[in-house]
Order: sequence, then C-alpha cells, then structure tokens
Amino acid sequence: MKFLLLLFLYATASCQNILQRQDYKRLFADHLFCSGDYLRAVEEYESCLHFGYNDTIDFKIMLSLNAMNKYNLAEQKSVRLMSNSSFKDLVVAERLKILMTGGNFSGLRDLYSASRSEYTAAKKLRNFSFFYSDKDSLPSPPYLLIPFNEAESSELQTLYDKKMNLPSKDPVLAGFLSVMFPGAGKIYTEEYGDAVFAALATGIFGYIAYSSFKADHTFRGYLFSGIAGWFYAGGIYGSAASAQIFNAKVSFSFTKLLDEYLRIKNYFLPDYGFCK
Amino acid sequence: MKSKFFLLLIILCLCGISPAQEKWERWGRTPDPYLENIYSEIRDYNFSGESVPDFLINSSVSLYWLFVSDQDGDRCPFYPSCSLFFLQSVKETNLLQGILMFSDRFTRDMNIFNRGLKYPVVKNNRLYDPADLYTLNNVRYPPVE
Repeated sequence: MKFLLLLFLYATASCQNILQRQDYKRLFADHLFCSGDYLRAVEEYESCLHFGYNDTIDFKIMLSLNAMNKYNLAEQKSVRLMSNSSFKDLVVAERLKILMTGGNFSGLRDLYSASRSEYTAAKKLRNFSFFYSDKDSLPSPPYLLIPFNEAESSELQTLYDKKMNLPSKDPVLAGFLSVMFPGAGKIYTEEYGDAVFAALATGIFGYIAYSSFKADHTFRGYLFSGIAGWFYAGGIYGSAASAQIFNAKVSFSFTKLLDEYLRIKNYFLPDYGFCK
Repeated sequence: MKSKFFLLLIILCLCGISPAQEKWERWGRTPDPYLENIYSEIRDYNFSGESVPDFLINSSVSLYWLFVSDQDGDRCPFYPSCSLFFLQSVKETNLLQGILMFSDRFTRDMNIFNRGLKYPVVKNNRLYDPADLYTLNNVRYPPVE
C-alpha cells in the first residue's frame, strides 16, 4: 500500500510536462520559430508571455505573424512594441517591412515621417518604396540613393534606368493599326501568332464574301461579309486590349524584380541571429 | 472496497506515467478549396432573362451547350470556355462589347502556337483566360507559372 502511494506521488510529480516550464517552453518556441513553424511558435510565445512581459518574445511574435502574411495582426503587435520596447528602431523598420509587403506604400512613407527614424534600414525602405510608384513620382537618383551604400546604389541605379525606360504600348495606336490592316495592332503588341490568325480570319472570310458577290450569290456574300466584319472589328478591339495587357505584364515583371531584390537584401534589415 | 481503491490507484499511476501527446508533427499545408470553385465550370442552363436580348443570349448559349458542346465533349482549350466567355463578357460589359470580346477570343482560340507560354495553365491543362481581362477597365496580368 505504501509502495503504491509512493508510486502514485512519484507518477504525479513526474507527469508534469517539461514543456510547461518557462525556460523549456521558450526553447520549444524558439525551435518552432527557427524551423519555420510560425503558427505554433506564436502560440508558444504567447503562452511564454503569461510568465511575464518580454519584448524579445513580443518581437519574435511580430516576426512570426509577418512571416505568415498576417499583416494586420503583426502591425497591431508592432504598435504595442513601439511604445514599450528597447529596440524601437528595429520595430519601426519591421513595421515598414510589413507595410511594404502588404503593398501600402503611402502608409509606409507616412509612418516613416511620423516616426522620424534615423535608422538606415528604415530610410532605405522608405526610399525603395518609390520604385513601386508611378514613373512620374519617382524622385531623382541623387535624392533616391542617399541612404544606400556604393554597391546598392549601383544596383538601384540600374533599376532606376529600367523603371524610366519600361516598354509601353499605346492601346489607341494598337487599335488604329488594326483598322489600317487586320492583325497589325497585334504585331505592335508583340502577339505575332494572334496577328497572323486575325489577318487570316478577316482575309479568308473577306475573300469568300467577295467571290460570292462576284458569282451573284448575294445572301452568301452578305453572310460572309458579316463574318469578316465581325473578325475585323474584334481584331481592332483585341489589339487595344492586348496593348493594355502588355503594359500590365511589363509592370508585373518589374514589380516581381523589385520583390526579388528586396527578398535577397532581406528588406535591408540585419540578421537578428535568433536562429544560430 | 480496498481492491477497488487499489485499482483506482493503479489506473491513476498509469495515467501519470504514460507520456502525454506532444505536438511534434508540423501542421501541414491544407489544400486550396478556392481553386476548386475557380477552375470547375458549372453550366447554368438558363432559358430566361430580364430582357429580350438577355433571354435570347441565355437561350442560344444554353441550346448550344445542350445540343452541340455537351454532345461533342469537353474540347475547349481555354477556361472559361468560349461560350461561357461570351456570357461573362456580355454580363460584365454590354452586348456590343461582349460580341467584340468574343470575336477576339475566337481569333486567339485559332492561334495554336505557344499558347502554353502565354496563358497560365490550370486544371486539366486548360488555359486561364477570363473575360474580365479584356473589358479595357480592369487592367491586370495573370502570371504564367
């Protein structure tokens, strides 16, 4: 009986999950964070905060939320960190990154102005956000490249030149060219295959209509004239739409290039060394 | 009574010693259910309409589906298919613009060269080419992956 009672007491004492202890809980949360399991890392970090507030843990929660694209939650967390943190500059830069990844560039510049941060990464992110704006609102290189080092300035100068010389097609001109000759507008928008088939469709049905009228088949002549006209008008419309899609494609590719550059540069943020 | 108490004690001991279930397995990626809705074409055979042109368009497309397309099989290389593209074009714009958009789609449908490089390939190797890209109002580009 005594043995069983002792065994019961031992079992009750040993059954306490070691992960319930604060230090192990944090180690486990760090493990999840470093292996990219951000969802559960947030859960574990949040429970660590029950033992007492720690701004590093709060910062890691913000990083995890940002990594999961939970921008709103990450921003809420960053607001709290801004007012109660020993590393305010990093939080500002991370908030700018959140706004950058969320595509809120005007919000990013407003936040930068409001924070009056002198942190280099924050300045770089603010200036880099101009590359996402229209060509006309892009500042000149001397101002744009101030916070960047020599190597980055050289790379960004290339991006600047590319942005200023992005190819563009005019939808009105594309439509006009197709009015002049079926398919010419599609050649202008570099859709060569579509251009050939637009010209063929209009040409073949136009020829059938012409030969029908010539052979006194009036009804057949009108019928094929209608079909040829339908292809002709559709070609004009399609050329204008194709020019718009060409411009959207160019813009999309450039944005993808910017995103890739930022990803490689880690948004100009330092390596925090949380996962060494 | 004593034996019952022992039994209870033993059960409690076993519960304490047995390891608790830990969350060692990472949460996996869940399938994207929204894709199923996007890429499955649901044909709404409709022989009614709010106006006479609407009734004529819905009826003619439904008749085409019933007597031609469904009999011929699932052949259109695009998603949405040309007939559905026409219906969507008319709904998103107007009859005239819808007819022009349909004509342009028909021409692009004839082009057999490099189609896989121009349009995103979706379920069943269909080429994703929605009507809203060609309305001249919604300028966007679906990336070809």
